[in-house]
Amino acid sequence: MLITLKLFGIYQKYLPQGAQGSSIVLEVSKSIQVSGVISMVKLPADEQYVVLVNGIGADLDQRLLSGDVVAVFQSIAGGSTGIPSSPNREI
Amino acid sequence: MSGWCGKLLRVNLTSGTIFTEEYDPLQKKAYIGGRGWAIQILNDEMDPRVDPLSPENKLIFATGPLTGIRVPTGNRYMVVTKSPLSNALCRSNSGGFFPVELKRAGYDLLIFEGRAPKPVYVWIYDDRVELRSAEHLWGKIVPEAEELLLGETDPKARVAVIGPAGEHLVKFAAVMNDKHRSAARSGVGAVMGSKNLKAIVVRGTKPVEPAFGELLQNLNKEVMTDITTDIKKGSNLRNYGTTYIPQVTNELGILPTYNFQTGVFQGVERISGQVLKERYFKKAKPCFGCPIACGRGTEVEDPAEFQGEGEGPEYETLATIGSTCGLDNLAAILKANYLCNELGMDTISAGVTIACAIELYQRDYLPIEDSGIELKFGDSLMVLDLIRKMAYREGFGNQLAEGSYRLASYYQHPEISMTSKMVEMPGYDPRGAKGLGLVYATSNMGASHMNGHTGYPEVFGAPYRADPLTTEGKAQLAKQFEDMFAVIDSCGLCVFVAVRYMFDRSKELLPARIAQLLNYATGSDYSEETIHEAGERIYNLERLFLVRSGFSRKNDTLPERMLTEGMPEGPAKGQVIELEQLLDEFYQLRGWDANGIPTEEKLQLLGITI
Repeated sequence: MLITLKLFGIYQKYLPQGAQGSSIVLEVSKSIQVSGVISMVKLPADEQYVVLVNGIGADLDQRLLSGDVVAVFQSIAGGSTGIPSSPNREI
Repeated sequence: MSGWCGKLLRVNLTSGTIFTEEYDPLQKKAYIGGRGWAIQILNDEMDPRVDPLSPENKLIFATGPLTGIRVPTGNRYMVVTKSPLSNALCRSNSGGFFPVELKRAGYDLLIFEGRAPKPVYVWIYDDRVELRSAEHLWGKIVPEAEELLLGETDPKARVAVIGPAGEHLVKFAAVMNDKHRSAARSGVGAVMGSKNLKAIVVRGTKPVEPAFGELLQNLNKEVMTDITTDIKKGSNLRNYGTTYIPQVTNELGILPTYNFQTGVFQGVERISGQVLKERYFKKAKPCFGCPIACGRGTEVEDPAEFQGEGEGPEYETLATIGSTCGLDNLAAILKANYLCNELGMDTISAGVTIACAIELYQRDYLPIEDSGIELKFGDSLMVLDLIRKMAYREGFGNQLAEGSYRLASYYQHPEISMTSKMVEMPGYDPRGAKGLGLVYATSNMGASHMNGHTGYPEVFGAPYRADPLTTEGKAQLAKQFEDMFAVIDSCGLCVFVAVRYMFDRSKELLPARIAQLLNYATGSDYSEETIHEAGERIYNLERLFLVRSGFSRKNDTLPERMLTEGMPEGPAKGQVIELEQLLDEFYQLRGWDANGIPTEEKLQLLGITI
């Protein structure tokens, strides 16, 4: 099935060849999860992803349907990832 | 000198007298400093009902206890006064190097009172302060004025100055510092212009030493390690500044487009951070002590009509001069940004006011006899022309200079003005980010993301993801972010590190780091609890300033469009803001009555006495 993948900001450079601007149409296997698409394009694994499917927040294990638009960008804060480390707390 | 200077400078412009006042900062620690101390002064010294452009209004430049301290982003100041745009509070924030210089000169605050009989500027070299004539500078655009001022004072000095927009009392004129940085919102520049004060030039040579240098240094290392680890992995702010955001908000369907008639913009790819980076980006422009360096040094070489160079754009400008006015030509948006900076004007209000005029015209509410030209979305040259006219109040520009609410009201259609408390909404259509809707509506400074940016979780998933379309939990979120921003602002830090300092993964506020930083910098004894309380105290005192001049629930509102017209398309399709319900919940959480007035009990708990 076909889905559209959009990568914003620093992730845009991971778009495969043939992308137009920040988006590309990809052929993927049926009921693939968001995480499957992310590994297809080899986004760095240690990042804090924010994922939208058709503009609505989604988790990495969400299964996709034909025609879905998946957008991925990096969460922001203090440089980037948004999760502060604290000397007193396990994170 | 530790984090606090314990000294302020008071300049009476009417009489030309200059005083310094000294105090024990520990006596004022309940309000932290900066923004907190400024609102204390306004409340204590000024009738909140004064005409904002009269000599009775006071204009305060406030640094925080961490301004000038070597901690990430310790470089901010606030300009605090009564707003001529909203008649509510103005507190505009900016960073760069000027604030640090002011602190190094030995002052926590500058207070300007009265009105100079003729244009003046103030020249501060540590303890030496003088008022000088600025008649030769009146009318000069920001970069020219700054160059001249540095030439006649000290090339190492730092400058905050108004442009022609401030001189012409444009209701959303900015105070510009370090040429390209802007304390932009709700008319601080017009107040400065009304006082005939062209500029503040400062040279400060006293280092700002923390009370406990070694402890601060260790904590600083820890924070820096976190931030640089982020940056090494790749950071949007570092690589794009805030210019990657249009694509994000467009994907959520909340990128204000055609005067907030929709939240989806077809031209979004053409105004993206990627295009900026490839075509116009020159150099990252960090503020003092900032490892993030989100500032964008940019240049447009061609076409000739958009030629220029400077700093910017920020996301807000891409959204409010770009998509809101229907512009998809990035070079034109950059030119508009340069013009606003040179003329000293807020890009958000400028853009949204032009968009309002276009919609009024298209609906036949505004006749061509008044505008002089056909107004249409997407017309770059028209936007540039209107920006120039607005700053000088030329022709139709005179009406635009009043802001969109007064413009739309003049044509008897105030519902076309996308404002709250007459202040233009920034680049997030709140129908698709309900927490922000509540923040815009209840803000003490009118619609502003800087009042408490719940878009962090609602839009950016930081430090966790909050569903932008639900109202559930949003009253709590709004309060949390408003109080947190009050702390960050009062300290003199930038909100881009706010999350890094302030939250933990369990979504709870974690003010421990701020408390530690403050204690090491100032030698005080803040705890997680007292720092949190201070944020709430500051926010409530600001609310009282409004209440004392008649503001209440009736003013905590949003444009009719946000409340009744469903978003026409995109992921937020059909959404409106359920404001009344949110207000009830928010007031209750804040300990305010149903009319939005802080209760005696709440004030007592916070130790606020008027």
